[in-house]
Amino acid sequence: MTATDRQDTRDSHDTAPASPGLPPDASPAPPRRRFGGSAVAVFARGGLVPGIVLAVLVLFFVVMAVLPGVIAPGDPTASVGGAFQAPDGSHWFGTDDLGRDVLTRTVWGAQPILLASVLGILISTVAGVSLGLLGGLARGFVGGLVMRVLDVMLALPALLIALMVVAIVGTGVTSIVIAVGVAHIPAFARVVYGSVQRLRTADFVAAARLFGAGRVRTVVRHLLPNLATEIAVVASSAIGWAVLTAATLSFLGFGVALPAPDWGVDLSSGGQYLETAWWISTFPGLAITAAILLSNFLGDYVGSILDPRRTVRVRRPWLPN
Amino acid sequence: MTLLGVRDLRTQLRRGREVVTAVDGISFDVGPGETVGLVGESGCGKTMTGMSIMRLLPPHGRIAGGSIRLAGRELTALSEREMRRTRGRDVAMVFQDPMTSLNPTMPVGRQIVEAVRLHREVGRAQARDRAVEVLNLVGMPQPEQRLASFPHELSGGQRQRVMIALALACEPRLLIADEPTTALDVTIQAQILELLQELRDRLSMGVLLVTHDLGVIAGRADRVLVMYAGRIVESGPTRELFARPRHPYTAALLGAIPRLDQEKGEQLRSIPGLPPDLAHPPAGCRFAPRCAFATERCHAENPVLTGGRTAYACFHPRPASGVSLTTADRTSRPRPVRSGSEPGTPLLELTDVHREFPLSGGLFQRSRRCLKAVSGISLSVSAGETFALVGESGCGKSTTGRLIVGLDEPTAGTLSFAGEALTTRRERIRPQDRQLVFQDPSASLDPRLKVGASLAEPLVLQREGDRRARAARVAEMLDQVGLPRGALEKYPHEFSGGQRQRIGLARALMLRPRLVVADEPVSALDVSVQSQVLNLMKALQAELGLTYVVISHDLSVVRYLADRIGVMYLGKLVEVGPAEEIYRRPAHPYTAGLLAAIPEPDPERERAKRRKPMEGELPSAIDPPSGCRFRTRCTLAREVCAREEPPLRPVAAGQFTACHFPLREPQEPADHALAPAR
Repeated sequence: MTATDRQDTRDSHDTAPASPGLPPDASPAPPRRRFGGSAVAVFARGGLVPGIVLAVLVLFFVVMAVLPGVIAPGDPTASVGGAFQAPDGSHWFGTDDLGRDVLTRTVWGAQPILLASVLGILISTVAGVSLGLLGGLARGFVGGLVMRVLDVMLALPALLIALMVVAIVGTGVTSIVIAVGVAHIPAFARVVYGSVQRLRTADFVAAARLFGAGRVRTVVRHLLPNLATEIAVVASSAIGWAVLTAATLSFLGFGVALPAPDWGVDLSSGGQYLETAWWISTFPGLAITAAILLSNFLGDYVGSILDPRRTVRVRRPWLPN
Repeated sequence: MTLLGVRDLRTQLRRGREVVTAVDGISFDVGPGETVGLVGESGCGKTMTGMSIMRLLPPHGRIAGGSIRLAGRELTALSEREMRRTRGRDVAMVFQDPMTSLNPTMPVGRQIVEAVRLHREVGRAQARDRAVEVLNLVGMPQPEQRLASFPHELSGGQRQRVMIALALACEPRLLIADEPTTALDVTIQAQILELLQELRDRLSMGVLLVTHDLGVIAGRADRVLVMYAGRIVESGPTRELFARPRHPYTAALLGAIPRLDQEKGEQLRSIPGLPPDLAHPPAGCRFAPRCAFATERCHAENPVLTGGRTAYACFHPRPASGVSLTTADRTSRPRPVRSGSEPGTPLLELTDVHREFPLSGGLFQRSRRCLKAVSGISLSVSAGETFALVGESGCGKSTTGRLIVGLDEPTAGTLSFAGEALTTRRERIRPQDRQLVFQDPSASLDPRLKVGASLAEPLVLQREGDRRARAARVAEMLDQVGLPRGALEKYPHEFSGGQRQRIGLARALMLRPRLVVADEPVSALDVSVQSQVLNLMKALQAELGLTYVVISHDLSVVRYLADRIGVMYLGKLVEVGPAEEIYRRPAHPYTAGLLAAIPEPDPERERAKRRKPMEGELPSAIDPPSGCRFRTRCTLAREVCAREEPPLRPVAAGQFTACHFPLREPQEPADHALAPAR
């Protein structure tokens, strides 16, 4: 009596063909317009045009982080002319207080921030997913302890955690990586914990137990793949938060040493000339904004292409700051 | 005079770039004080018809043409504002799931008051009085106190009563009830249907009863409209339509339902194929691709609904004089003789099994209260038989099923399988012995695994065979459940509900278990598909010599499958016996009440039933009533029932009941010979 009758239009094919007596191929597959498994088809789920645009932008940022010389061949630390030159034909973004080209510095300044963000998020993904699984699956004391520690971390702003880590580890790019990584662990752990709570009582997990599946296998084979979408979505959006954290840390002077280029450092050093030479800190600032926006769009897009059911629930994950 | 007149209504929904014509030119009337039943499979457009009348279509839907007149007023011409005033005052709707249709953050009283004040110029106090009045009208116990309750504090039946009260608050002239009882238990369903009928008579409302359940229609509707693929294919007075269905689709639907009066061993008829995609409907008759009587003309030309009181849209109607197809067209098959079923060798035995769930009592204190899901069940199932556990939701039947397969551990009592006691965790879960078929196949198949991988998983886990042997076994199982080989490379969501349940069955049988527990195996499926899965289950049992424990709330489904039945009530087994005996001569008043509550797809029989549904609802399993647990709802209960718990006593050969005043005389075991031979 609990027939799914109200889903009338959505479930218009909810009838099975072929009684056991009939040959199997007497049943035409329901005419569903779904995409198969090929890579192009997978990307088409999220829309081909936004996919291409996103791919180009991501590639641009990757090149900026890995091979900045390709985009801006100049030396970011060399003086190329007079100081405080406004943007013009030869220096599109103008020059800074020491006569260095702001465009070159903005391109080269991506490296420390983006590297710290991506590596940091890798750390938080691995650690957060593990802690989330542990908290969700271990019963009793261990599970409780893990979740309480995460609760405490959640109560603190990510930046504060990052500052605490920097205070312990010291300054430099490596410590920013660690700081960013630790700061974003609770975001992942919470998402995973919530999903594990939902999935551990799912019928398909019970079915696996009935076939003799142990805990490890259930986690690897059934839980992780079903969590993959959520993790990927959080990870791609989290890069944006990490950019913000990393930029803030270097803005405060915990990152690269001068005169190396860095968005956060340049933002900070240009700040004092904002009234007379707005371009020095504006362009690194815009670069940070662009990176965060791109990361958000990427998160939405990843969510929409990864789920084979295409029932995409791109909810904004909890924001740490 | 007609109350509602629908003419040539067409409703369209946008789906991506396509347009789905969900309702395609239907016309019908509903008179005052009349119940018109609208019946059909999922996706046939019956809900969309109701939604069109209410103008509550989803954002991508619109009424594309036709007219809807309510008491002479053209509804399609009204502005959204006027329509808002009409809704609730002139026409109201009751939905399937009262939990999602009531606002969970507002007490039910305020929701009714709000509805009243929207349409009537009355003060708060008067509206409140009206709320109490309508709650009284729908038979809500203690309506004054209930005003302050939130929806989640009410039971399902009570919520549906609130929903009806809400709909009736402004005395609409037309009530659209969309699957009003589908989410409820049979006994509650009978109460709600009775209530609807009573209110209709008292307020002389017109009722449009939308349902997939032909049993509900048979007992409650004056006239029936059968919908298929957006069109009405047949309409007529209920008795005539059930006695002499003219359209092959109606006949096939009636043939697909397992019925209480059916001979055992009959195979259920099913409808092959799928309903058409309404974005690209076939040119001719829409049922033609699935119809056994279709000719070339059917595929080319569209039959129109013709006739007077009874009308049908078919070129080759079933004979009007012919006997009811529902009994004549069934193929009778001798019940297969099973091998290895020696009576007296129980395969599964439960001895005084209890399962209690402790309730958490807040953060720091430990609560001593617990939910007694199963309290002392003893039963045995012999090899090769089908044992069914039936009862209302919350009676503990699913927990018992989980205990049998080992997903849960009993808090007391023992289970044994093939003579061996199951005590350690390792013994409890034995994939090669016992398997479970889940109710909802879309939840029990990992959405991330292709069907082939899902099916192979049991073999991989049990390290059976190499890759090739496993693939062969998977292919063999697919054939056995009637799925094409192409299914292996697809994901579960790409299948229909019935196909998914076949996959679920195939996976459960992968390791050749001896006992299969099927928990509501067909309750999530459409009638026409139900019969396919039931037939398949029976065929597989005969072929593989399986033993089934079927758990179901649907006594007609159980009747089709079961050899023996155990009736559960609030964690106790109240009656056990051979299926035939239990259906023919139930000994426990609860069993009798359950049987009487099942709506049968037979108007004569339904109307002849005494209209007095079992009262009350299942008590809480946290504090069960003392003595006999059923006494609070039993008409025969006396003082002794509250004091002493009745033990299971034999009443006939193999039939036991736990009642102080059974409907059949209790017998001593020695009197078996006197039991009438059947």
